[in-house]
Amino acid sequence: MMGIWIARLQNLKRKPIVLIMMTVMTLVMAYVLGASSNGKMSISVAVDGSETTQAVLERLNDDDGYLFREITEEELQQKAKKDIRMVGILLNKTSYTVLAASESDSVRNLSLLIDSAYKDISFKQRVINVGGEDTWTTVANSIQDDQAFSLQMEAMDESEVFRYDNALQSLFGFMLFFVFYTVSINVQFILDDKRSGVWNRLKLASISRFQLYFSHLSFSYAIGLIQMLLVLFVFRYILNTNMYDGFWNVIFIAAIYVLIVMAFSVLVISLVKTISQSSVVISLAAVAFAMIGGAYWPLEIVQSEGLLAIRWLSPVYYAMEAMKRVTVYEGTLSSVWTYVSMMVGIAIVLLVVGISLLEKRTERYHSSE
Amino acid sequence: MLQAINLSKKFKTKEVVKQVNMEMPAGESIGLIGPNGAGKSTTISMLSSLIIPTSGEVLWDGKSITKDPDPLRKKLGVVPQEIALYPELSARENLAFFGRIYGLKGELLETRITEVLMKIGLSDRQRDIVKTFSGGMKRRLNIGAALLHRPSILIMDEPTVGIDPQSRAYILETVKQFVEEGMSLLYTSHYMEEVELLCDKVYIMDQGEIIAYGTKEELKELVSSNQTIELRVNLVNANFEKALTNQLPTAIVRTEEELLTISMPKNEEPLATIFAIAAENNVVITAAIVKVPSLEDVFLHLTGKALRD
Repeated sequence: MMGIWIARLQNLKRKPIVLIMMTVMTLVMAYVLGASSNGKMSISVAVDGSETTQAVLERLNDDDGYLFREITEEELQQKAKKDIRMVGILLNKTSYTVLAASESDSVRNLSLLIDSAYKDISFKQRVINVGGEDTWTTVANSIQDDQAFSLQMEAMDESEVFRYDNALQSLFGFMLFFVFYTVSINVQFILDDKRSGVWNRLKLASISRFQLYFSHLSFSYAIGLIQMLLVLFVFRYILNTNMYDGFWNVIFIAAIYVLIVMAFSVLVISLVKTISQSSVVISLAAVAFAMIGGAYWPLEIVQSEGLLAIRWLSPVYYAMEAMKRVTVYEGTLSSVWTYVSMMVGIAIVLLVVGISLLEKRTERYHSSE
Repeated sequence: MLQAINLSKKFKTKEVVKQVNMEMPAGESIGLIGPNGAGKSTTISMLSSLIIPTSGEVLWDGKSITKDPDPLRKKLGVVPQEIALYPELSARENLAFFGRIYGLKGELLETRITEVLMKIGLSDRQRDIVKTFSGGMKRRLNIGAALLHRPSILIMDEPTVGIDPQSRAYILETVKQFVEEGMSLLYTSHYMEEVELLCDKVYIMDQGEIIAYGTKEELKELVSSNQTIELRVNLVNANFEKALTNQLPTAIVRTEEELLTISMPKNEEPLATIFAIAAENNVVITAAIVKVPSLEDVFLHLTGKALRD
């Protein structure tokens, strides 16, 4: 194994451009696009001028995920007619209307947030009506002091509301996208070794198939993981990106993601004949997976049912969702076990199928004399 | 001794090697010749334990290598037809890589690398990156990579394909030296003169079968009753070729650009007839040679085709 690792490192030393390029591209793209917005979803809002709606709006403005821009009802209606992507709300004293071209997760989450704001205001109003301002102050203080109660309330809210952090969306998206290339290019070494005859030479030196695959794959895995760690550490400790205390969980998910990408790359090289064919398939797959997996944009804004239905096919989806859950949604690792176990399961299946097909192909090399 | 006993290999429904029997005694040099697709590389792959035969056995010192190939692999060096090297690494780094794979390390590894570099004549280019090498230098390094663990048996699969005559001569000289030092050699090539130069015994393979084997002299005996006439003509004419075949029914006629090779029984006197046919068909013969039998003629005689067809 050491021999193969040394040779691979020497190869990398001579041709480091791919690794450098992919890492730099991730850093630049995530930094530029992540910094281009404050990370909030912009919502147009029209209010009827009542005290309740003002209070609801204030309450809504407390949420970090949205930027509410107040406009008139007429402007809101006009905007809704012209811009199908627009999401707007009309707040009245006792009811509210969400204006959106279609119903999506983001619209549902926004509705939940507004519901919650109305309930809070109504609760406050009822307490004041019954006991006066002093009673409300006492109740409010008691809610704040009661940590267990307060925490439980927050947890319920956080999990239900769509939250968005543009900086993390860009960071995770581009990191998952570019590492796909790094890992795949490294896995292609297996195909290269098989075609050049180096693989057979190693087999003749009594290196077992397990050792051969393990050495190559562990190297590809390590390179992919190092790239991700580099990017994450730069963002966390140099650019001070807020990771919501989920930094180490993100690293854990990144480690699992590299595994599934590596397994997918093995499957690809087992199905193609040449490195150039493999590169084409990998490029297409990387872009497609990134698109349907929510690397370029949050899936919450995607309205196509078809696109949403096939998101399960993309490894990027599992990693992206898990990373967002442990950061933006402040979830724990146990809350993303479904995504993690799906990634591990798929990786194992892809690896087994890929290596079996590769072994069959080795026989075919000998038959093509 | 390495032995192949009734060795067969099937890929799906196609049987590419059929009932091959071969022997490679210690210290002998064996040639395996045959046209493309004859089954040579598959036979070599089975002999070197890379692929498992569909039926039959490969024995190393009387023991089957199918279940335990390690004893053979320790003694075996294989030079593949492809340049099985890392082009981005230097010659020395490549050798170090293959040496490490064979468990060599430290001073021993360094000594072996230096020794091999001397043998293949690349000491002065050892730090250069392989992708900058000429075809001949790559071929030499390809051989060197198989020698680091000091094998006692060397299998070479067309090691001189696609290189310049100078490099070819260098490689042949090097391999000849290995043989003289007592290394067992199994050598396949399209170039009959290489096999004639290096090998004591020759196996001729066609369509997956060994069609003849023996010492070079024994094989040439097969065509001792034959003669080969090479004609150089200014313009090959299809009618001329057809007329030759019709009027000399015992002859095998083969055309390669302006060269016509006619193989036929020695007891016939065909020259007058050939010249007459040429005149009838307006073909001018610029040279005619009656040749001593070579392995090429043996091959032509046995298969009806040239080795490089």
